[in-house]
Amino acid sequence: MRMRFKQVVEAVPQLRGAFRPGLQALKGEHRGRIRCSDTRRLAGSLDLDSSLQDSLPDDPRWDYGVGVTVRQDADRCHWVEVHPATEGEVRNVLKKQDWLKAWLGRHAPVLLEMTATENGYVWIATKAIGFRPGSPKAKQLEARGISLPCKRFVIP
Amino acid sequence: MLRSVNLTEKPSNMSLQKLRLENVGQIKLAEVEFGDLTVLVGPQATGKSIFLQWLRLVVDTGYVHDEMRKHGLDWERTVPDFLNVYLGEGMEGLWKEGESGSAVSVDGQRVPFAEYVAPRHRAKGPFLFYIPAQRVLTLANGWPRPFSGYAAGDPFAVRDFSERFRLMMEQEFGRSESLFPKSNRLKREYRDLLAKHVFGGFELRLDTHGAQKRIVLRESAAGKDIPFMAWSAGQREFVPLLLGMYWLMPPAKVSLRDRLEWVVIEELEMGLHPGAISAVLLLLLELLARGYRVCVSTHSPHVLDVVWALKTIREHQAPSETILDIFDAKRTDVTRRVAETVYAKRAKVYFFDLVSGCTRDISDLDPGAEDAAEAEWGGLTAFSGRVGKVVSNVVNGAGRVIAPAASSAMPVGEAVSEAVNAAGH
Repeated sequence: MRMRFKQVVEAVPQLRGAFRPGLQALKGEHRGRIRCSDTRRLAGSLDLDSSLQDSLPDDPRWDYGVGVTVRQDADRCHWVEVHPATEGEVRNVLKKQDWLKAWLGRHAPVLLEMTATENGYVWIATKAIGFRPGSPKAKQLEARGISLPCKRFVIP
Repeated sequence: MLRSVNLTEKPSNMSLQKLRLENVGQIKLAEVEFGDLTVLVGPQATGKSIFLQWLRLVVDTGYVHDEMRKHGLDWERTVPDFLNVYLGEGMEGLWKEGESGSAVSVDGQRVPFAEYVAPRHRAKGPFLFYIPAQRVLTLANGWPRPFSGYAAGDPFAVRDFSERFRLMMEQEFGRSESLFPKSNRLKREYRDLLAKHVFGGFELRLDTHGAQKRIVLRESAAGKDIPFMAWSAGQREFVPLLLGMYWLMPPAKVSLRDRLEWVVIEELEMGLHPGAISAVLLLLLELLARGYRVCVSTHSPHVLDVVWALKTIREHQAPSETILDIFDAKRTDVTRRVAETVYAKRAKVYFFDLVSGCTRDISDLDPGAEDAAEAEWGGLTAFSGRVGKVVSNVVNGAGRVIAPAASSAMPVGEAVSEAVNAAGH
């Protein structure tokens, strides 16, 4: 099945107008935190947080979706959250992931299907990183498929 | 430039800041700037122990020579023979002569190795106390072996520790039955933690078995003695370390033992459960609070956890007593004072890289650092990180579910109200 990020995003009524080429949907200060050695692979981006702010102002919205072409006819999506990386915030990030999965499942199941296996859910640290691999909080995140916080996400 | 160092006149080695070894054994270049606490990490056979023994030689040349001569060891002023008796048999090839040969520099100045081999005298005792990784071997049949009880090719560090340990047992505990818990040794707060994490319901005692003295564990409830060979591996490893700590923390109201200024502990975590490691790390802070400069080598991420936490607590100007929470230690006047003193201490962490043969300063211990050696704490968290990544990928690969799993799902409404209260993004 062809799964192009742009077409899938544009087919979701709640995300109308949200698709941007490259990393343009990301706020300026966040854009530099994602690297891709071959920018031609970037299939676009989506600011989920801003797009749904008016309709769901109180929901724990996840920040961004970034589409990456993995084969000629298939894209994958990395869900990126820019958030303070302390152990105390793990609970909030898990809640955001719950929300994201539930929202995508209800409104954009194909986008959920497109979630990348490796680094599907990426937590970029706002500042310093307050926990290390192997800690119970780190394991809690990994058991839910969220990569440990990083300062920069390098698209594999 | 080479300088001639008069090792006998040097009054103190507390000012030693930097030691650099080049082309010594497997070490291509090891350059370490010491903190109050210095931690060395890295895979096996990268030269950490060689480096620490070299530090000892630099700090304590006269004492090392005195002790070796006292016990009949002769190196005939040659470097290979000296290395064989000091570091142990087979180590003579560690030092290479020639243009790109071995070199040692102290505080930026190169010192000819002949300075350390030419006989020196210092009768007033050592500046550095060395607790070697092989400490468990010092207890034969429950009693420390004398210096002369080892083979000629055994490392000086092991033989000397064993001899200190034996002298202390004979001179300071000769008539005392109880070794742990012992009211005038270690602060009560530490004793409580050690009792909980290491000794359980056991006491450490001195027992006379015929004419032979031996250290035994006594099961408090049954009053039954358990000999050395029947102890748990962790207890066997820990007892020499504990008695080394006793040596460093004399019972009188003095902070430091004799002229000692430096403490080196190799692999303090050996054989211990993380709970016990945490209790030992608290003792390490006590050493720092007393004013010792401490160097440790480790394969345990727990040691670096503490360094990382100390740094973060200081950077965020959190109260010093937060340090006690790391160890789940009681907040008493005594422990608060220790925490307050340790708060001002500086730690350095060095990675001994197997591939390059060089050291790297990874003291920031930033889990987000671009340098993998720093992010993975010299490889100590790399395995956990890899396991976590595999788990995370498996979860995402298998998790093509539309809704979150029931056990982990939180009703959106509930999540909303909680997230509103959260300060997060």
